[in-house]
Amino acid sequence: MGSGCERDRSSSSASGLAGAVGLCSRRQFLKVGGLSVIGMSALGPLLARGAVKPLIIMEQAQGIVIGDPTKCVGCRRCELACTEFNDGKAAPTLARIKVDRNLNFGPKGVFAGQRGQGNWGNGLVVQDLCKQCPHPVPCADACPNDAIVVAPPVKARVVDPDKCTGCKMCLRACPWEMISFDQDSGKATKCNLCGGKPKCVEACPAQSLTYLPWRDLTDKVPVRTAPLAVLSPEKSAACQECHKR
Amino acid sequence: MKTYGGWAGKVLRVDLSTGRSRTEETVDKYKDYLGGTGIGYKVMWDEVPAGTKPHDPGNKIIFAVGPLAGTGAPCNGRIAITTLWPTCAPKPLVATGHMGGHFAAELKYAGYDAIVIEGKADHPVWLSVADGKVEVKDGRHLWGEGIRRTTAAISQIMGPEAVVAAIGPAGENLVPMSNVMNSISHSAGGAGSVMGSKNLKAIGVRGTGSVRIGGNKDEWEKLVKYHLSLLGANNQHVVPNAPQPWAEFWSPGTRWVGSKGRAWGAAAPPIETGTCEPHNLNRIAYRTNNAAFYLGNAAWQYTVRGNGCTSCPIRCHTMVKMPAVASKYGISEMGQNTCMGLLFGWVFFKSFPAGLDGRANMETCMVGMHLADDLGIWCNYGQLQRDFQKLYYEGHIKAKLGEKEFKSYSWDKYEKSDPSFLFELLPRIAAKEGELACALGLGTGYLLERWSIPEAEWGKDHDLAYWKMGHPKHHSCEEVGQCGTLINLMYNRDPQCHSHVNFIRNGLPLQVQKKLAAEIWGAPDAVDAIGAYTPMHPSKARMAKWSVLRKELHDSLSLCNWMGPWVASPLKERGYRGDDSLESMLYSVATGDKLDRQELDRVAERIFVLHRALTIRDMGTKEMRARHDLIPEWAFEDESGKAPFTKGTTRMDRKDVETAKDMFYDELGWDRATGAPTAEAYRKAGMGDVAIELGRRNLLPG
Amino acid sequence: MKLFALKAGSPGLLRRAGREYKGLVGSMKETSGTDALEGPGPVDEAAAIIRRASEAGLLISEAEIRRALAGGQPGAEADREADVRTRLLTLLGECDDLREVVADNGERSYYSSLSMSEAYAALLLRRQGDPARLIAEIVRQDSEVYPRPVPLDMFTHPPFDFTLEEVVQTAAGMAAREEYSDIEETRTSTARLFLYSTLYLEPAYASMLAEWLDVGQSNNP
Repeated sequence: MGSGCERDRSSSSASGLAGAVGLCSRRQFLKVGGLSVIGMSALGPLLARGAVKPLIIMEQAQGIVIGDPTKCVGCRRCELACTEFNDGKAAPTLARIKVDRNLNFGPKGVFAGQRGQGNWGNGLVVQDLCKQCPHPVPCADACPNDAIVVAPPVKARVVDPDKCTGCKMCLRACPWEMISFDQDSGKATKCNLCGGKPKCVEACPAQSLTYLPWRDLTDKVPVRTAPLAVLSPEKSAACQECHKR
Repeated sequence: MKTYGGWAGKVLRVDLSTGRSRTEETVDKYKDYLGGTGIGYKVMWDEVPAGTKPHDPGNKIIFAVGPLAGTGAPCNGRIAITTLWPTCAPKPLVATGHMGGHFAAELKYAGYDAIVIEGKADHPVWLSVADGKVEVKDGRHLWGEGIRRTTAAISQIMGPEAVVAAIGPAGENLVPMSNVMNSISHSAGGAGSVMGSKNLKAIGVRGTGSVRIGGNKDEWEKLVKYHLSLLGANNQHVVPNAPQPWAEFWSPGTRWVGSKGRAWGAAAPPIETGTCEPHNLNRIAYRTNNAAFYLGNAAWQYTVRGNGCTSCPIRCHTMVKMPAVASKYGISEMGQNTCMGLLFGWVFFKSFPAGLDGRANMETCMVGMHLADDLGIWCNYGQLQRDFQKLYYEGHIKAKLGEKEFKSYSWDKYEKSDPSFLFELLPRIAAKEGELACALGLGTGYLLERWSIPEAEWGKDHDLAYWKMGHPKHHSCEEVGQCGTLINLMYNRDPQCHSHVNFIRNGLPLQVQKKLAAEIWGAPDAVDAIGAYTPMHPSKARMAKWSVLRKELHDSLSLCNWMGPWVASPLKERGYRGDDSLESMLYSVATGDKLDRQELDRVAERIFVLHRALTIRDMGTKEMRARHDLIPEWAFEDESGKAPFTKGTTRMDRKDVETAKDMFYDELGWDRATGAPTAEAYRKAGMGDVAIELGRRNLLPG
Repeated sequence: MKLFALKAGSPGLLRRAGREYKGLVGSMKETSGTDALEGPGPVDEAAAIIRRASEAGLLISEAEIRRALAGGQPGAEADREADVRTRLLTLLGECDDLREVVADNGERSYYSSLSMSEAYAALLLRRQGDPARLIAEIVRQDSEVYPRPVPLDMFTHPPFDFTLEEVVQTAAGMAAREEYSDIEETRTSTARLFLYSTLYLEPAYASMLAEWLDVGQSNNP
């Protein structure tokens, strides 16, 4: 699928520049031309640093939620707001902000005991949040059905339930284990930033969550797991367009 | 069959004698009793006959929550525990305790509204509930361990999100003054030894399911936000502790202590609480710091943050860090708890040389929490500690202990208020080691009996806080006059009712309270200024009835009665009004079963009346007024001789108290002479079968 | 004038319950910050200065406003005195939230009711003047309204921030003055000093209340 540029990840039919982002050959990307302006300006600081970053395949998100672990008081109202107000059920396992798994012992888990973080350790509660990854977006790349798309208004990476088949590849692909699986619907689900007004941020009684313009946290937050990223052969081939060896 | 939201749908029955478990349908069997104490009392009535003793295999212990547990309704994190109460004297009766933390929510996510523990295992076990998988597991390797190590061990098996409710050595050794705890600092006093008697060391729960909101989710979101907007600080105190720019009033007695310049000093870096303006719902967690409230401003430097139950924004537990105690006593530098849990060690000692400003206060609290919350010892709302002081300083301990045992305690350390004394005392109470430990572990009622001390002596003492039947008062006449007195008559342990005192202490001036009282209970006469009591009035009886009904409602729905009801708010634009219909609105939207305030209060009344029926049946008498609804002598005395109804005394008047009982029984439709519900009262509460059963036993009045 | 809109509740269930509840708009917007700065009135620099001061928990005097408007340049102030006066009068008329308070010496101060209550503004105003008058007013108010005596050490904490010596001296001085003859003291069993007004509280009652506030409440946690 070398020359195809038709995989439109954006679910909107936005005008030219913002619209047509998909897997592009380098040749075609450069043809589109103006598109690079959006990408480049966001990439600016990185390029200035001399970092060689790939071309944007998926539009960058415009917002991100970050958490301050020193302020989290472990009430879990964020998880409750995320699921009750979005899904009509209180379901922390389904929540797209994940606090419960770090609440008692911290990200290192049970064997950190009283020497770790969380309620049994030093009190810090790390709030796991979707980084709305820039390219390469692990969950989107892993999805064999391209069900994870960029959604308006803030370009969050969102599971399109019409396309999701419940295969759970995205769950395995996320290095931070941020994708949830809804047993009732049989579909994956992930943080969509609640359309720009995140309910978790609104719900936190300790002001430990903040909604900010997007910034890249993928190289700042330790991963939780070694992701099993299995790309389809077609996608792997497409990656070769840019990632030539 | 209509399906409701809220309830998980299943009650788990575990028979430890056989190791087998089964489930029942919550809604089919228990909808009329909601959950929590409602289910508890129903099971006890139906299945545990009069004459059963707390440690008999025939006793049951019911861990139950209601439809709101596990949801985003504010303050729903408590689970009720109902059983025959080991410290209730002279004869054990049915009572309830609760514990906060995360157990209540996790049980719902696992798919259960209640766990009923029956029988007795023939060796130590622990119960594992992981969603639908229920296993009675060998607990022999855990027996003898403290609560903390037990929790760690079970978490290692069930995962870091598992919530573990465990007993310590105190419960294992059948010490009546023992508890069960979860989530580090959340205890249910009184039930530990009942679990111990069944060889049940712990219950570990892991739930990956959900609680469905029966109504419209947008409506639910609005309702939750509305409820949040009415919240005050801990105990629903709606006025700040010191003048704040946004506030019309302030009151030094309230728990709203967050302020500019006050910071969580042990956070890294420190976090200022700020003025906590009430419309800012993102700052609710900064309003309360109970360590600072109880121990003074010195506690701020040790405060890491607040902590508490699932869903609650208040964070009434304080997590403290005091590095000095690690090297000084060999204990963790981290501690957390609230109220009596926080003060457990501190209340043992008469005074501290440096007063509240000294470090000794926090040090003693740290040592107390370290020991009590691992050994699983109950304080009986501080009665253990108050009894200890009186028994020591009045010479009872010296008289009752043999010389050898008396000398085995470092009394010089005790008299100097050295917290290391607790290392000598508390482990021995948990181990039933020695006469002193055994006596203290019985609870006040049976301790007095064992040491041949007349109960009347305890009943005369103004500082001891003893009420009746082995338990202390809990917000009674010393503060809320006739209303507080009536509430304290009703139960078989200290009432654990805060409906009334949350209102009285909320910090609003008297005239504002009277205005709200008129709207809620029919007349401004319902509330008096403390120490300026007025004679009994029907509105006070209404307030007392409302208080106990709402306590049972909260304990059955799963709402925290240390926070609710929410009839006052911090909002001047509402005239400081809260909303008396919050419980019914939350219930209606969460379940989809639409009940208004009066209808839901009638369900609460059913639950409360069932408790009365249990008490009557198990006491074997209908003479509640004469034999159960008792008031200690100190309530009728004033140490400086002031008369009742004069300013400056909380002394009750005997005749007025009898009028109070009359009005209260009338309000409930109970018989005046006996204080027992009539057959009609049971039928009106939807419990005609209870009336028939009691009639058979000649326990109906008239 | 309201800080935020109260929305009518949804029909059906809640009307049936006999109450219509009003949902609050999400709380993120309603924190203090640029929203409060803007306020409901027109954006005026003087108004913004007053509102910022109130947010910080402070009254601001006319002189301070003049200085702030002048950008800290001394010379520019004198010219603008009359202008500022007029401007403030206009603002008071136009903006619901802006209020004026006048001290005994005639000095005018301003605050915004968006973030400061009338009671707090009065307290700050009184704080600028005679400490004895401040203490007396608060003691009388509390004795009448709650009713309760007032712990003396309360005045060493914000927003009073007197030193302990100042407070003790002031209280001692008040004992000798005719106009404060109703202000009495009582000590609790922990030797903590409380003040009350005999206009509203009898000695025995005040003493009992002080003991309750100091000791009793903690004994009934």
